[in-house]
Amino acid sequence: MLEPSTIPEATLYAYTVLFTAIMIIVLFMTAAVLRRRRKRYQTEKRVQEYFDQWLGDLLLGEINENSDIEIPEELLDRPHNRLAREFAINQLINTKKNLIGQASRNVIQLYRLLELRKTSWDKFSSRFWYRKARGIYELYMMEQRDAGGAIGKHTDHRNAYVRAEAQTALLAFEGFDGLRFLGGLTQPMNNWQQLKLLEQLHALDPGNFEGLPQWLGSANDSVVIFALKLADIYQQLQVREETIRCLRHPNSHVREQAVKTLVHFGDEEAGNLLAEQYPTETEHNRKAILEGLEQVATDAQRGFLETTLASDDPAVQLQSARIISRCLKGGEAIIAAKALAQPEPYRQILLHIQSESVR
Amino acid sequence: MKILADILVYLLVTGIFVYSVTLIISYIVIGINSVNETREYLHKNEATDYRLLAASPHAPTVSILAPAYNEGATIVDNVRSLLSLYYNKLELVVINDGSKDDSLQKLIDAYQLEKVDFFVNYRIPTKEVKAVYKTKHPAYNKLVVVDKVNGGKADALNVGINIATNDYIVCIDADCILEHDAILKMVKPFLEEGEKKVIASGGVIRIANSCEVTNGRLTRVHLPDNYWARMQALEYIRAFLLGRMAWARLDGLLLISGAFGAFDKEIAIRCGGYNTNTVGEDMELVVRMRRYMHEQDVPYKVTYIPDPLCWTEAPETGTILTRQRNRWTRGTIETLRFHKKIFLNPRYDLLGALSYPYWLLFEMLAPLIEFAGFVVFLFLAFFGLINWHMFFAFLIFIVSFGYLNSVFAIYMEVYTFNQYRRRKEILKLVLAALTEPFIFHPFVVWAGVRGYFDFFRKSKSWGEMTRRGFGKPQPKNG
Repeated sequence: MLEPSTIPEATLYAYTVLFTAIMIIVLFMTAAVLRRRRKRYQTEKRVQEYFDQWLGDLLLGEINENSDIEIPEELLDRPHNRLAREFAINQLINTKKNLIGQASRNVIQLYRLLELRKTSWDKFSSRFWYRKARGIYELYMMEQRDAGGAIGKHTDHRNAYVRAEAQTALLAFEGFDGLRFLGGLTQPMNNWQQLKLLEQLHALDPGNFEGLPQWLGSANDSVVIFALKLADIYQQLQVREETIRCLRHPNSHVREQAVKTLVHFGDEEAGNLLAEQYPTETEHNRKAILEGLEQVATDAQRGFLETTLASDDPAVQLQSARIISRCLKGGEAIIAAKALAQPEPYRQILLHIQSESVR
Repeated sequence: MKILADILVYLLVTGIFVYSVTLIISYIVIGINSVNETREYLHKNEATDYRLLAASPHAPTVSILAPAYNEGATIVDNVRSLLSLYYNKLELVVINDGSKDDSLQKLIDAYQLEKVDFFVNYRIPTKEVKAVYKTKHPAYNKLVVVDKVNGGKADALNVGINIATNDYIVCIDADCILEHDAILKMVKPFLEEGEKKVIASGGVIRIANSCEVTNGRLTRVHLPDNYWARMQALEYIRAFLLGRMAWARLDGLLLISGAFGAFDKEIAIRCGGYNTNTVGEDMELVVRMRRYMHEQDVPYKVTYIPDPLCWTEAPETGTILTRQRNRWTRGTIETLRFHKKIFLNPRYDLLGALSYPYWLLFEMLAPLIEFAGFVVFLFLAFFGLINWHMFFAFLIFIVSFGYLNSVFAIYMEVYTFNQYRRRKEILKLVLAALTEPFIFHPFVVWAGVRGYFDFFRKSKSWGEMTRRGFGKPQPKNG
């Protein structure tokens, strides 16, 4: 049995000394971290001075592939210059984010002239996932297209961060053609990654969607969802049938996205399809359907909407009233009649809808 | 009789000893897990460009819920600060919980609010909503102000949930200062969910006393000048950077601070929203949501963000601090009592096997056990039963471990987010840690014991939390 008297006094003192020793070490480590931060700050300040000068040259086009700039001592590829070179890469990335055209290309030249690619490549070659991911990020931000082949092999990497960066890199290098990785993707893509890829594509002219039907039939549900988003944003009406088929998908998230995509396709049949889908759906997806119907409902869904208006769920009542009022001929009169027949809750719903319409 | 007394003393002494040993082991496990979780978080987000999320049409929609009661002095500035947060798909719902001051009128005047007809869906039963206000001013179109009958913070938040139109809710204290990118960072874990549904995400709360605040924005961080506030700054670093990060890694987090937490609205509604019968409504909601997900057999997780995103004013007097800790103790007792079914119940996995027992033993019972230990010590000392050599050996052992834990927390702070940049401030923090076992800790234990008294007296009081306000001079006798 563990009890105080079983512990020799000397053991307690020994542990006290041990704790105190560790505490002193931790205090020294804290001081060292503070000192390192100060040193880093000073290094960064010095490097920033070079950058202030270079930035002006970049904008004036005085730095290009033929430039012969003198690399400052503290930016040379030496182990003790690691901090300064890291800072330089960050500065170049941040500068490039805010520039376009020739100035942006000049930033890449400066990256090459400072021989920073080797640092990025070393990171990419690391066995640690976070260094590998960071290396990929730097390489695609600096448009090192020749690294595309090696990076492309990691689009299905087991680590989510490495594959996310590799996928983004492929799109950065190849635009819409880079989406081909979707065909072989077995690992999931979370919503953050999908958002990142969509933003990456946002700046480009819409391109090749040949793989879309295949991606919509993928065994990887996140690929199907992403493909549905692509079809939605880029109005790929040629995959309408595949999208409708997704309404029968076993994954409710896929069905939810299919509903949203069909709504944005906005054809005449969308309203009927959604109304048919409604009774079979989860509560969450029913909400998505009603939100979608606000954009596509016609008088053909009048019967369906009158049924949902009479539902027991106040949220469904309100949304149905909103759709009827906005999409059906004489919609507001329908709600007004309902409010007259059954003031509670429809009178307040009518006022709510009217209030929304004037705002 | 003597044998009985000996047995009793033996059991008490051994019990407290075993308790202490378990606590020390827990702290070591927490420290290790916290380091791993924080390091992983920093690596994961090193190159994250949160700007993507700020304006993306694909970002999830978020409603901030800010309950306010008698906040007339600061409400207009606080709302302005919240309206300027970086996030496009945002709605700000300010709930005036029957304030007796002019909070509502100030909001109406400042933001050109107009009363609108609003159908309130009382999915969660609450006190009556008197009116809903919106504005036609395009700069404030994210703002919704709700005026309701007073019902307490939990009731006000439930009204906010009922009114909110977006998918995620971020519950905050109206008098907190949020960093401009706070919502972006809080929302990201929800987007990163994989097989496990993210039901809630917590953020670190930091102490804003003595910090410089301009136009509702924190412009410069300082360590609090006031002793009580400074001790809380240390305590918060320890609790948030070590404790909650470690529990997040172990997937056993039971508490997301009411001052700043994000939730999946649908799950929160299905669970019935905040419980109005407890003063620990923040912890109670998280426990209930977790319990619900377990009972539905849906894989889930609760995440935590170590970035300093929310700044709050800490009590600067013993009286107010006592009220706060008294309430926290009652809230913990009430929550654990409501959910006693979880305790060591295999159906709830780690929640029942580790999180609940930890909170029961080392959070809820801690003030009682420590107080009992002190009483036993006095008793033994009075009857001359103390082996003083052993006593001092144990005392310096446990005090040195406590110091080590605090110093480690300070190191983690410096290594990660380094909010207190001057060496002098770190030194002051270390010195504050040295006084903790003799001044601050006994005080907090006593406040906890009083919480027990009040719990058994069935007190539901929040206790008035007088605040000085940001950027105001400190009272001389504070």
